[in-house]
Amino acid sequence: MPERLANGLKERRTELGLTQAELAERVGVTRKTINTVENGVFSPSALLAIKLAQALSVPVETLFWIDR
Amino acid sequence: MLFVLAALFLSQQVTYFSGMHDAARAVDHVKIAAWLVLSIVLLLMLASGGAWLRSAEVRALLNDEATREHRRTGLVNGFWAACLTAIIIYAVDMFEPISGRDTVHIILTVAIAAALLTFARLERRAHRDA
Repeated sequence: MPERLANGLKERRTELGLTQAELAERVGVTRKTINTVENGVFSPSALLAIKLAQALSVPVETLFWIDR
Repeated sequence: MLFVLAALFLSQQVTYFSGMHDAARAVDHVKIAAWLVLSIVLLLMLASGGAWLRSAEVRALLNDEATREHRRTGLVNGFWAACLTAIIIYAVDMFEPISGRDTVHIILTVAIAAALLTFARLERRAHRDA
């Protein structure tokens, strides 16, 4: 079974009461990119993953994990 | 917008190939020039991300990580489409000779259309449910 990068982006974002647009603005990407990461369509680079973790105030390994 | 551009580009080729064409005729000079200009613009857009009239900050935002990945996938598909088209033309040419000019025209058109349509499809999917 192939490995997949899963994430808890949507849950954490909702927990903080942020919209996709607000999170996108915080990390300097478009809302489209946040949407594709949340839906698992796009795997972000290490740089973007760290920026997202910082923006959501959680360690990156809490936000992203490998789904086997 | 991207799908409209792709449709416009492909319809231009239908006009070109549906009738008799000859590089020596003035009317075909116009058709070829129009195709060449549009091809170059589309290639530059695919390579750079477009939005040339926007500020550097806006361009950087529009060209974020996901968009760059979509463009890269589009360009890869364009490359494979060009290779496959070249192989097909090579085979067809054994039975029905195709001029060098038409060969270049077909390969470039298929490559750009494949890249553009892939990019447009990925961008549309990314916007869906946003």
